[in-house]
Amino acid sequence: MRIKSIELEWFRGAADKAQLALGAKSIVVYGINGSGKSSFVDAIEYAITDGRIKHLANEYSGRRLEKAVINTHKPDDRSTSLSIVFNDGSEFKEKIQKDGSHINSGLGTDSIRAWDYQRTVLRQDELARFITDRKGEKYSALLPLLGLEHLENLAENLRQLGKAIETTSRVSEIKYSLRSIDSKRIACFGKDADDAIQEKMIALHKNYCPESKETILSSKYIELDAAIKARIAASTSEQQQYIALKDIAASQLKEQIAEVREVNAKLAGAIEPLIAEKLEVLQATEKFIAKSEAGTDTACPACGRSISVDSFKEHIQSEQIRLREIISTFNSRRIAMSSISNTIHALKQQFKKSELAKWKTELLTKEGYKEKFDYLSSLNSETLRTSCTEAELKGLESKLLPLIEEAKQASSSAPPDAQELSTHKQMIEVATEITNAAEKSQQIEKIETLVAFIQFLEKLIREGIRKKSQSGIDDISSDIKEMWEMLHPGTAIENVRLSVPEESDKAIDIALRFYGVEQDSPRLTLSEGYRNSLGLCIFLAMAKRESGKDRPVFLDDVVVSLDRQHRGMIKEVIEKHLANRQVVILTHDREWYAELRQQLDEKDWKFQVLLPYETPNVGIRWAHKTTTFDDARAHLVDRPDSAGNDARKIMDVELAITAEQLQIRMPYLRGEKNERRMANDFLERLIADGKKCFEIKNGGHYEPYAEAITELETAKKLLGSWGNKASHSFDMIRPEAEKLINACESAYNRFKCASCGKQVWKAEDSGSGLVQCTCSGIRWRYGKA
Amino acid sequence: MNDKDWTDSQVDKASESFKAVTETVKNRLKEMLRGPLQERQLPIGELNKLATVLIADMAPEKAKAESDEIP
Repeated sequence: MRIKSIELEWFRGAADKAQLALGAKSIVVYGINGSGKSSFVDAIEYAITDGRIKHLANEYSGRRLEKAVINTHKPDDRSTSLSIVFNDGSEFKEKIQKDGSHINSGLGTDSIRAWDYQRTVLRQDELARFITDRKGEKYSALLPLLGLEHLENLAENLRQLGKAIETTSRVSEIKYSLRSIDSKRIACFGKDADDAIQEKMIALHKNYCPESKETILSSKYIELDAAIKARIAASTSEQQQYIALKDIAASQLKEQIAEVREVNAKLAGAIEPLIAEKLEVLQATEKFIAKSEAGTDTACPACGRSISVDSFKEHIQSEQIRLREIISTFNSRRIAMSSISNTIHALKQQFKKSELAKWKTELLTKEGYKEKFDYLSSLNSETLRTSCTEAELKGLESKLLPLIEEAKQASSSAPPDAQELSTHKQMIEVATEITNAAEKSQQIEKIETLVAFIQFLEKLIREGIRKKSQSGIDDISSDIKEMWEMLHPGTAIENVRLSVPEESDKAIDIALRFYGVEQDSPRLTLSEGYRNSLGLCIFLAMAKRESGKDRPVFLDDVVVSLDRQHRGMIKEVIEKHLANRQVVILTHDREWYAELRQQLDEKDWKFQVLLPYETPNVGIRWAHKTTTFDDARAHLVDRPDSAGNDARKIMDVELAITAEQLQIRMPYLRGEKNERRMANDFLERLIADGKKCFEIKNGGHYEPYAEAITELETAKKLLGSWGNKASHSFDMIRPEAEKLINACESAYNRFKCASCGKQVWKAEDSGSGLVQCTCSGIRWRYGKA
Repeated sequence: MNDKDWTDSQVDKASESFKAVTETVKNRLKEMLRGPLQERQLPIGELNKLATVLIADMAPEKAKAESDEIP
C-alpha cells in the first residue's frame, strides 16, 4: 500500500496546505534543519498511533498534544488537518480540534492504523532503539515479524491459567487444612495406613454396635459415634470428668499458635513493601490516566522504566498476579486463625461442662488460675478469626496453654475404662475427618495433575516457538549481517546477528564478533556511530520482513552519525533489500541528497527540496522545480547575492561528487584544505582531465566533448569572478546572479547525457577503464588523464 | 502443519505423560488453544473463568464404585 500524497494544513510546521506529493514513488526530500521535513513524518506517526507523537509528548504539550501539533500561528477561522491519500484511492483524513481531540474519516483509516510504527518510521534519535532495548523488549518487537505473536499469547496464557487454577481451586488452603488432620491422625493412629485404620474402626463398631446391620463404612462411623456418646453419657461423673479433660488435653492450640506465627512472618516480609508499591501504583495510575490520551510515557514506580498504555495494562496484570501469591498466603493465615478461633470456642464450651465443675473449683485455688479462667471467659473467639496479633498470641500462650496442660495432667490418671472411652471417642472423630480428608486429597491430586499438565503444555509450546522462530531469526540475521557488511566492508566487526539466549525464553539479543572476539552485545564495544549504523541495519532488515504488506518506510535524518564513506553505501542497501518498497528519505545533508539524486533511478524515485522556513504563517514551502539550482533562483529577486552564493555552494557539492565518480586525482593540500575543496578546485582538474578524457559520440566514433569543456570553463570563470561577490561583498546584481546560475547549471548538466538523461558514470564498463552513460552517448576514459 | 493441527498435536503429546487428565479436559484445552488463548493475553477475570471450567472438567468420567463397600 503506497502513499500518493501527504497533505498538511496548519499541522506542525505547515501553514495553508503543504503537500508532499509522492505519486506512489519513493522520494528523497532535502531540507535544512527546521524547514519542516519531519512534519510529514509526524503526520504519519499521528495517523498510525491515533494521535500520539512520542517525541512531542511532554508536560507542556497538552493532554492531546494540542500545543504541539497545531501550528502556533493558525488563524482562528482555519482548521488543522492532515490527509494521506493512498495509491488505491483510499484516504485517511484527520481533523484536529483546538483542544487536540481529533475526528478521522476515510477508508484508509483501518489500513494505516494497522501499521506498526516501529517497522515504518525510523528517526535519528531512534536509531539505536532496538540495540538499547532489553532482551524481552527485543523479543516482543520481533514476534510480530516472526508471525508467532499468537503462540506467545498461548504460552503466556497457559502459564497464567496454571496459576489461576491453583488460586481458584484454593489448593494451598486445602493442603493447609489437611496438615492439621495429618497431625491428629498420627497422634491417634500412629503410622497406620488407611486400611488398618478402617479395620480398627470396623472392629470398634462391632464392639459398640454388635446388632448393627450397616454395611456402608460412613454409616458405620455415624452409628459408632452415637454409640460412644451414649456410653459416655451413661458413665459415672468421674469418668465423664476424665473424658472431658482428655478432650481439653487433645487441643492443638499450641501448634495452631505456631502456624499463625509462621504465616505472619511470611506476610511481614511482603506486606510493607507491597503496600508501599500499591500506593505508588495507584498514584501512578491516576497520573497516567490523566495523561494517557496525550500519550505521555510515565515512569513505572515498580521498575522505573517509561511505559505506554498497552504496556501499562500488562504491568497492572503482572501486579495482580504477584498479588495472587500474597492473597494465597493471606488465605492460609485466615485458616490458621480460624482454627484458633474454633479451638477457643470449643475450650470455652468444654470448661463450662458440669462434669468439670469440681476439678475447676480445685484449680481455681491455685495462684494465677482465676486470672487464666477469667481471660478465657473474656475472649471473643470470633474476633480472633479476623485478627490475631502477636500480643494476642502471647496472651493465649501464657493464659490458656497452662490450663490445657493441667487438664492433660489430670486426665493422665483417669481409670482405664474412662481412658479407653475417651480414646475411642477421639478415634471415631479423627477417623471421620480422615475419610473427609481422603476426598480432599483426591481433589488436590486432580488439581495438581491439571496444573502440571498445563505447565508441561506451556513448555512444549515454548519449545515450538523457539524452533519456529529460529528460521525467521536466521533470515533476519542474514539480512542484518549482509547490510552491515555492505555499509562497513572490510571492518573487523563481523558476524552481526540476532541470538536467542539459551537460558531464557522470551528473549532475543544481538551478538557479533569484534576483532575476533565474540561479543554478547553491541553495547560492549561498538561506538555510538557504529551502534546507530547497526540500528539502521536492524530496522531495514525488520522492515524487509513486511514486504508482503507493501507498506512505506520512512527514514528521517538517519545518516547523521554516519561518515561519508558509510553513508554512501546506504543507497546500495536500500536498492538491494527494499527494492519494491516505497521508501521516503528525509535529510538535511545536502551532499548526501546530491549523491542520491545522481545515483537513484528517477523512474522509481522523486526528489524534492524544501525551502528554508521563514515564519509559521508562511509555513512549509517547496522549491518549485526539482533541480537544485531552483533553490538559487528562488532568491533572484530579493537576494541576488544569496542566489549567486547558492549556485556556488551547489557546484561545490555536485562537482565534488562528480570528481569522485570520475576518479579525478586532486593534488594534496595541507591540513583541512584537503577536505574543503571548492568548485573551482574541481573545475580546474575536470577541465584539465576532461580535455583528454571526456568524449561524446558522433556518428560511429567518439570525439572530445568540446562544448562541455567550454561550458566548464565559462562556469569556472564566472565562479572565480562573481562567486566571491556573492559570498563576501554581497553586491551581486540580479543579471550577474542569473548568468552565474545558468552557467553553472549548464556546465553541470554536461555530465548528463542529452539522449538518455543519465550521468556519464552511470554504466561502468569495467573492462576498459572508462565510464559512460547508459546509451554510451558520452563517456569518460580514466586512463587518458 | 497448520497452527490448529500443531496445537492439537501438542495437547496429544502432553497427554502421553499425563494419563490422569480426562478426555474432557484435553478436548476443552484444544478448543481453548485454537481460540481465546491465542487471540490475546487474557485478563485475570477471564483466566479464572477458564480455570473453573477446566477444574470441573477434571471430574471423573465414569461413576466410581463405592470405594468403601465392604466386600
